[in-house]
Amino acid sequence: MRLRLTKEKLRRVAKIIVLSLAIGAVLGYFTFYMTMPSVVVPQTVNPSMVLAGIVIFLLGLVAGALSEDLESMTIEMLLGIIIGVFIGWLVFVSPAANPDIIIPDAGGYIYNIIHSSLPLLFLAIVALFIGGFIGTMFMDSLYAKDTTSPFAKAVSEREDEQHNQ
Amino acid sequence: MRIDSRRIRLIRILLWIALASVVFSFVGLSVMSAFNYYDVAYAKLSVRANADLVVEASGIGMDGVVLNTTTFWFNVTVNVTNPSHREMRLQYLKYQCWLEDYESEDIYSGPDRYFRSMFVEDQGYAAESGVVGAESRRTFSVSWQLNSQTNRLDFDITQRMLNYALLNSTQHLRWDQVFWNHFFVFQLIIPGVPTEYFGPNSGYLIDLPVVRLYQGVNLDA
Repeated sequence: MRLRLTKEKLRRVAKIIVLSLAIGAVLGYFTFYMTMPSVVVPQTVNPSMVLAGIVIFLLGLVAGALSEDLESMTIEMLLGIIIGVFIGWLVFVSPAANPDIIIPDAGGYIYNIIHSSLPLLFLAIVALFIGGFIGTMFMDSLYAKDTTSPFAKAVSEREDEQHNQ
Repeated sequence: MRIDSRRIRLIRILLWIALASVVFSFVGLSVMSAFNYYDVAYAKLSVRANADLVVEASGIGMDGVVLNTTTFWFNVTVNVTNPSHREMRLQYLKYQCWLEDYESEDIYSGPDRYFRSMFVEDQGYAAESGVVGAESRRTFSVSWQLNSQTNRLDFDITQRMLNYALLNSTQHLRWDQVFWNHFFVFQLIIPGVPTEYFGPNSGYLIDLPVVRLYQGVNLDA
């Protein structure tokens, strides 16, 4: 019993980590997109907040549907935002991989990333939360309709009893 | 609608595939952006340019005073070395100059005597022929002349400097008593990469190559 619980916990933690990384990878691109739109691929002059918002909302929808529950989704969202800022910063200082390119105070540029993408990060919190909530509710409704699950069976039996009465 | 767990499993698998596709796409875009960014940053840092200015004067009075017949000839030569894989283009050449009249004034004597002027070279020049290819060198030459008949808008402010000299010639302003300062800015751009002059990241690696040259010329020397 204890082993099963541990396995379940591990599975839950692993899922949170994977989904956080997935959210972070997409958000990382968008933080760099907002910070350096002139060199991002595909290149743009004016970064589109609407496009970023739609993609992040859809991401939240999928991540929410794959999450265990709303609590996990909230943790994944917050971790994902932190990972996203970190990935954006990593791309921002990536030219330093060449020893000829020296970036003084590379750590200080985390401020630039946050400063440039602050509106996006606020939008991401809202879009991920709404998307995640809808996704989680969608999967819960599917589970409730699952004829083979004990939960659905119990609901169905209770409905039958009420009907008979 | 009734659903069984097989369908739910299928939906979950499809969602995982969708998520993986989105993540791989954006990781790919991030990696491509990083490479593109590195390329631009390297191009910016590796470009080298040096400039040389020659100023010649003719028709100066015997006592070194600027006359109505005086003509100044300017010739700027810019050598650009671009070792990067990116093509560059000279966006503009800005020339700024000012006089320091040591004999009749000092730095505290006010704006009527301490003189500052500027003009920007015709941008059409750079757009037509100002390309520096990848891994190549290029020399640009810009020439112009200045005299009392010069009446081009671009050179108007420089004309003011001549007028200043002419005005002061009645007070026997000699060119060997004047120091003529020249300052150039060569703004290079990488075609297709918008230049970010302002914003929170201006001043970072992405700022495009600007080469500055300060050269003081004493015409009498």
